[in-house]
Amino acid sequence: MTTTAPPTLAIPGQLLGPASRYQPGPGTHLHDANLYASLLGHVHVAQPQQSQQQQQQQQRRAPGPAKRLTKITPAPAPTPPAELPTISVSVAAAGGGAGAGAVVVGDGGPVAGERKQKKKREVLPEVGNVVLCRVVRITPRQAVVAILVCGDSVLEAEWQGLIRVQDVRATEKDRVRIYESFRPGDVVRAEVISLGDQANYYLSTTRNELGVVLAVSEAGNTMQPVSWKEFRDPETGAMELRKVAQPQPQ
Amino acid sequence: MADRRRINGPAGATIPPVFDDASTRGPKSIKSRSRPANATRKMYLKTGVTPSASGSAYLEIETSATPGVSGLKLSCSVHGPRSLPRSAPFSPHIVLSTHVKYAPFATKQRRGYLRDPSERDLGIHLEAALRGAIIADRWPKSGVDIIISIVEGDQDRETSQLQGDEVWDMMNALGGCITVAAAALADAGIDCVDTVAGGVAALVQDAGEDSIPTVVVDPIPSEHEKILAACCIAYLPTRDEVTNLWFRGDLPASDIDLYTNLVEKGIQASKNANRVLVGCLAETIQ
Amino acid sequence: MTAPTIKLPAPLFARLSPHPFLLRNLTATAAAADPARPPAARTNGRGTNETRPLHAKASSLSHAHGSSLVRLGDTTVLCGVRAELLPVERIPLFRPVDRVGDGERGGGDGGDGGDGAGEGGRALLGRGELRDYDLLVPNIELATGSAPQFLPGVPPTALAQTLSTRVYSLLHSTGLVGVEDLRVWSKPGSGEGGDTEMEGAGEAQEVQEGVEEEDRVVAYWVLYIDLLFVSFDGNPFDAAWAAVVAALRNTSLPVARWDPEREMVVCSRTEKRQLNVRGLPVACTAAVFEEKELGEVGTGVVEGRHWLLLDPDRLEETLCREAITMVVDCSDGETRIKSIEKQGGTTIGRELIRGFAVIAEKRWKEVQGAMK
Repeated sequence: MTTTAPPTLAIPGQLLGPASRYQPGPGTHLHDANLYASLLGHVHVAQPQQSQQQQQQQQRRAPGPAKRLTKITPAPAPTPPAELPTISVSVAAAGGGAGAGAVVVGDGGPVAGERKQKKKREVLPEVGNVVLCRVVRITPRQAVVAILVCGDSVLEAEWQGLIRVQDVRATEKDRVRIYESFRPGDVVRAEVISLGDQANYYLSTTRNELGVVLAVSEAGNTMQPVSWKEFRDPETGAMELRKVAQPQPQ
Repeated sequence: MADRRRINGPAGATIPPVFDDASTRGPKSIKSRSRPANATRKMYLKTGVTPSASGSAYLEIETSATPGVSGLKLSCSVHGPRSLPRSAPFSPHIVLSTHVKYAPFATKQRRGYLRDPSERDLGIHLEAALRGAIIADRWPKSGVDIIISIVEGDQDRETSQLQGDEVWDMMNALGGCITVAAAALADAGIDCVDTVAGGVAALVQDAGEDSIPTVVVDPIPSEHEKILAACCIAYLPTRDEVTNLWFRGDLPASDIDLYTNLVEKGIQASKNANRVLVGCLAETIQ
Repeated sequence: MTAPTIKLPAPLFARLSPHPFLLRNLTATAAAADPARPPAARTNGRGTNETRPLHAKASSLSHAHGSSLVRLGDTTVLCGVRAELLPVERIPLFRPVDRVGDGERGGGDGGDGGDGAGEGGRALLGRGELRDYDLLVPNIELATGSAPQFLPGVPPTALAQTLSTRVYSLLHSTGLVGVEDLRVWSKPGSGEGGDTEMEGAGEAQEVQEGVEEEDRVVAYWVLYIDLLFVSFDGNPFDAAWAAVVAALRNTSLPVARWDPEREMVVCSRTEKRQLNVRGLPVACTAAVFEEKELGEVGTGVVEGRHWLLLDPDRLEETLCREAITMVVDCSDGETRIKSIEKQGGTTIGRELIRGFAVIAEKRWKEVQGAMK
């Protein structure tokens, strides 16, 4: 194999390199032992995190002015014997010109660190993602929500999710009442626990930092959290029950 | 039955204008083809025309030199990936829905707002062409809508009504639809194995009934005396795969060479379109 | 607000709670100590009274008799005018046009465009025909994927129907098109010199069946005005109306005459006549944004502050329940209000409407510049 550097920009179907040199990342696909782009965008090559030595070797082995370190995506847990760099294509020009310094370590969450660009590619909620959603309607058994934000990316489409009564909190599960936890209109931070059925993702708010983050009182005022289960209306002073998300240290 | 949700105009049916010189003209005034047989018309492609959509593209095929002949103008918008409607069954991959519609002012005859069978046909062929290019299992439980408005059809305004013309126009329209949809899909960021582009080739008879038919790419019906057969091909250049082949016409079954020749020319036309597509996409990301 | 609210990046904030997001943008600039130049006050970076520039391009289509492409920010509309003939036999309850109207028409044609005396009377007369025979057929198609909420394959949405009807009634009430341009005459007399030059030489062939000496209307042109939204980002009516006006100004109909031998109307392929369009009415829309969000628990009377957002975009339209549209025409030199439409809410009162006329006038000048 000739050691040519991968292109900086890719068009779907463009050859990125042999599969023996890279691992396929997002926005790429494998065909005939070669890696091809499947998206229109910028090519990123991420070296494996462990084994710095090997990484340096590889850098020396594959010289190319076009190659820029802009993003590190960790390799999947059972790493293959040979530590190959991951090649990916993303729609955004992550980091832009000053990209070399901005190394973002992804934590499994979808596309981190592309906040600036005008248009984003739609992402799908995946199991383990923390999402922000709005409560659409409640029933005694579950709260139906519309997922609006997944990780750091704002979703174009509204994906429907369900928070079932047993997934609201970790303790005293049998005493949970949906109407004491959520109201329609609340903004809830939750975790995706299952892809669910044909229409709904299943969400959970059992962890402390998950739950209602924004709520409007019956009088129409934005309320403040006062305890793990109560919000207060600053104008009327009325208290309302919710499954409150523990404020995260900023 | 009148559509009550639209403004339908007068109760009595209206008739399109009839021109006084319609009878004096010959049934078909042939303008000879101005390009070589293997040259396609110039194409203009641009992405991002509909900012409110996930992805969009606009395609214009240059008007041929003769005035009055309109070039094809297509506008495509892609919405999605989005959640499937609640009634839809579970799908482990992306559900593609295509929709092709002529604008009411796109052709010689005013088009209605309801889709007619030929428009549905175009939508189905387009879906088949794109399905082979999309990596569908990257997006479980989701759908994508690809909507193409044919703003202006590839029709000669000067020539009077010709039988069978529409059929060949549909070929050109489908070729354009495939190319513009591929650009819009790439703009929307939906995983594809390759950029698919459409190309049309036709077998034409230019000099009378008994002349030897020739194969041309990107045919304009008004430039040829008679089109015997045409095929529209959706082709993936790096994969060297054909995702959709639509053949229409009348070809003797014995002459297989003619058939393969037609397909090859269609692929060549598709490659030409792909060059424009790649150029346009390269411009998009810069 | 002193509440220890959670911090969110702007796009997340906009998605999660759009109303407070817009409110925060509007109030933040009010507090900003920079009175010299008004900073961007809306989420889209515009001031409250700032419109998006309008771009109009005429005759972009070749199959239509007149067409236009209008861009208003990210809202793009394509308009095509298509004329078809409606023979009078197909009109139920057709009343022949009397000679008075005919005589006046002759005069009008001679001057060609010089709308002189008798204008008012003629226009009134014409409006009856336009409306009774339904000669103007505007339709708006939103379901072209112009925005995520408008997908094809469903019947026209309530918004599309409303817009079509509003354009329809405004076309009639402004008298933009006169019926005299749409009439097709049979002139067996062929005495008028003014007409022979227009109607070609085939006129001399005489009447076969006798008694038809009088000039009569044999058909009408019906104008199908089709509007296609290519891209939708709020304020559809202003854009659609501008496209209609631009397309009609661009329309020219083929010269038509009655062919007694074939008993049908035939058109000349070469001769065309420009459609006379009276005035230049321009629509100007603003939405009212209220401080209090009106949810299900709306408190009826709203005492909070409000902002008038001119030329609202898609996000703003979803957050405002009250809107005003004023159609003005200043082409005579003085401002004439052609229509005022107001929907929902109680904020806009008499003073606001009066003040809005000034804003609409300013908008008219902008649009007039773009239409040239």
